[in-house]
Amino acid sequence: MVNRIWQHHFGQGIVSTPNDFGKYGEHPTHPELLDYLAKQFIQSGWSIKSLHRDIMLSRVYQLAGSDDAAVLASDPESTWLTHSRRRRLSSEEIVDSMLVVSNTLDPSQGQAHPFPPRSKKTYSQHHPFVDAYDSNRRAVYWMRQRLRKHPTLAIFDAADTKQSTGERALSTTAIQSLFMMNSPFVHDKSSALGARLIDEGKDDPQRIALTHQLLFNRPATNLDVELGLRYLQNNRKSLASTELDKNKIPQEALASYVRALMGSNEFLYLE
Amino acid sequence: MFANNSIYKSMPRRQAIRSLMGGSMLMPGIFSELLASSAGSKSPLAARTPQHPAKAEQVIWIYLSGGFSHLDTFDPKPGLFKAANAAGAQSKKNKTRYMPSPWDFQKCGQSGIDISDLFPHLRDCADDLCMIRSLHTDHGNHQRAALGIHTGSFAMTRPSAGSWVSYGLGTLNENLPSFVVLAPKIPYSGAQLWGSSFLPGEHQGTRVLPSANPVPNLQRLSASSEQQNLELDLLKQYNARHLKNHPTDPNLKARIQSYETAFGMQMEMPQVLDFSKESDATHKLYGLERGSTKGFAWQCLAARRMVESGVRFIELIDTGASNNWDAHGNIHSHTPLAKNIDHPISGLLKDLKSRGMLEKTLVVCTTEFGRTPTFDGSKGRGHHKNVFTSWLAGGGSKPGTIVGSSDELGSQPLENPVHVNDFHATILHLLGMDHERLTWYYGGRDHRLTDLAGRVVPEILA
Repeated sequence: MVNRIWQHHFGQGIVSTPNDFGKYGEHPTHPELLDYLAKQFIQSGWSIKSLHRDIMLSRVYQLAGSDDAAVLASDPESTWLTHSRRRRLSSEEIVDSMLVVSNTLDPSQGQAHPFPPRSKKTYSQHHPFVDAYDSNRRAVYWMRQRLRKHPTLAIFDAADTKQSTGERALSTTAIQSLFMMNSPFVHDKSSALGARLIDEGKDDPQRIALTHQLLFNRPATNLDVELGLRYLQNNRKSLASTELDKNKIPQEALASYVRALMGSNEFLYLE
Repeated sequence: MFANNSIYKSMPRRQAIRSLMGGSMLMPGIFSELLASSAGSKSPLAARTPQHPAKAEQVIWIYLSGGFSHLDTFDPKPGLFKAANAAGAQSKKNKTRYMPSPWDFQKCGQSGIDISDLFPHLRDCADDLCMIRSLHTDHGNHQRAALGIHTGSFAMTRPSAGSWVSYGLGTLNENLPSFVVLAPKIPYSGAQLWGSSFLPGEHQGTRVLPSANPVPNLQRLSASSEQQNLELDLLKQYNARHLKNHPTDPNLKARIQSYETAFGMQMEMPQVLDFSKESDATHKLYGLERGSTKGFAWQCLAARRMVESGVRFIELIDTGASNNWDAHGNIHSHTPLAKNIDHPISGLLKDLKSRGMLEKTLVVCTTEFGRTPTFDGSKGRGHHKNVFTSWLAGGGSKPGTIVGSSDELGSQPLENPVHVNDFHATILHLLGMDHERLTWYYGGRDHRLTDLAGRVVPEILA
C-alpha cells in the first residue's frame, strides 16, 4: 500500500514492481525508507491522508526536475531520487485538469448511472452494451464497463478494469494527438475556458497571464505574452473569414489559443 | 532476463527488443542485430527487422464472426449421409441425429481442394489456399472462443495477434495506425478482440469505419484549416521551447513527433479510403458498386489499399455479435453471409496476386469454432470446438494444400491436429518471429501470444 501510494506521487515505487514483491520482483531501491513509511502508516492507524502528508511535506517530494548532465549521467531515471522525475499525466488527470481549468467540473455527489430500467434493457451477448454515460464529474466517477476499456480514457492508457494493473505502460500515440486536436471533449472544454477568460480577464494581456497560471501554474513570460498577443490577433483575423458568428470570435480565438497550449508537453507532463 | 517494463517509458525500443528476445542472452547475435536495426529511430512503431527472414511482411486477417460451419464450406463429409440414414437414426433426438450438408462440393483447381457451392467465386483461387482442416480450440462459447482465436487466451484479456505483430515488427507507414480493424459492427467480446491489453497503447487496433470520421477524432473540428495550422504552429513553438529546457527526455520528442503523425493521419487516411482512382475493372473484381461503402467488398478493397500504404496488420470482420454465422436455427442462414463475402474475398486474392502483393501478404480467414455434425433444433447446427477449418493464402503459406484432416463425421481432428496456439505460432513464424521469443514481461512473468504452448506446423509452410 505504502509502495503504491509512493508510486503515484513519484511515478515509480520504491519497489518498481508493485504487484510483485516476490522472487521475480525488483529489489527496493530504498528499503529503510519503505520500512519506515510502512511503520508510520501502521502507527497512524492506517491513515492514507497522513501518509500523503508525510510524503508531500518531505524534501524529496519537493525536489525540482534536473537537466544537469552530471546528475542525469549518474541517475538518469532518478532511481536514487536525486531529482524530480518528469511524468506524463494519467488519462484521469488529463480529463480532470481540463474540467477544472475550464470551470466545468461538476463537484456534486455522483448519482446512479442512467441505465435504462430493467424492463427496457435490450442488450445481450448478441447485442452488447456500448453506452458510456460521460459526465463532467471527475473521471474516476465515470462508468467503466467490463467488456472494453473506457473509450476516452483508454486513449491515454487507462487500465483494463478486468485485470490487476500495478503500473500502466505509457504510450505516445498519434491517436492521443488527434484527441487533443479534434475531439469534441477538448473543443468543449477549451471553449468553456475561452468563456472563463473573457469573464475573468479584462484584456488580452490579463487573459494570457491567467491562461499560463491555470494551465502551467507559472506566470507568463514576456515572450509568452508577445506570442499570445500575436496569436490572438492573427486568429481573430482568420476567424473573421469563416462563417462563425462575429460575436463569438473573441471567445473562439481564446478557445483556439488554450487548445493549442493544452496539447503542449508543459500541460501534459508533471515535474 | 526480467526486464522491467517501466524502462519502456523512457527507452521504448531497447525495452521492446529486450522483451522481444525473451531469454535474450542465448542469442547474442540476433540481439545486437536487432539493436542495430533500431538505432537512430525513436518511435516504438518504427519498422523492425524480424528475428529470422520473413516470408510475409503484412497480414490481412479475415474473421468471420459466429463460427462458420466447416462441414458446409471446406470440409466435405459424405460419411454424414450414411450416419444420417443408419438404422434407427431417424428416431433419435435432434441433438444426436447427424445432418448431411445441404450443399454440394467440387474439387477445384489443380490442387483439387474441396469448396462447397456456398463459395463459387473462391473456387477460382483454390490453388492459392492452404486449407487447415484440423484446427481445434478450447472453448465452445462465442466470447471465449473469439478471444482465443484473437489472443491465444480463453479466460484473461490478452493482447490481440495484431498487437503482437505490431509490437514485434513495428509498422511501414507511421502516418497510419500499425493495426487497423475494419469492422462495421461490434463482434463478440467487443474491442477486446483488437485490444493491446498490457502491450503499450500504440499497438492497439484502431477501428476504421467508412464515414467522414473514419477514426475517432480524425476530422478537423477547428473552424478552418488555417485555424488548425495556427494552433499546431503555436503548439510547436511551446513544445520547442520546453524541449530546449529539457533536451534529454525522449518522451517529449516523441510527443512532438506524434502531432506530426496525427496531422499526417488526418491527411492520409481519407486518401487511403478514397477509391475514386480505382478503375472500373477493379471495382468489378471485388463486386463493389462505385461510391458504395457498404458490404464486405468495401472492406476488402480498403484492405488492399492499406497494405499498399504500409499498414502492418489489417483485420476484417464481416458481421457482428448477431445475424452472423451462428446458425443454430437454420444452416441456410449461411447462404446470404457467404454471398456477402465470396466475391469480395476472391477479388481480393486475385487483385493481390496480379499486383505481385500476395507473396508478401499473408491472408488469414478464420472463425472462432466450427459447427456440429449433428442437428441443433430442426434445421441448424450447434457450436463445435473440437474441430474446424480455416485457411491461409500467400505470405509463405503453402498454396493449394490441405493440412490435417477431421474424422469421417467431421467431429474430431484425425491427422495433424492444429491447436489455435499452433495456428498463431505458425503465423508468427511466417512473419519472421519465433513465438517463444516474442515476449512481454507482465505480472511477474514473460507472456506470449501462444502463452505456454504452440508449435510451428511445418506442413503449412511453402
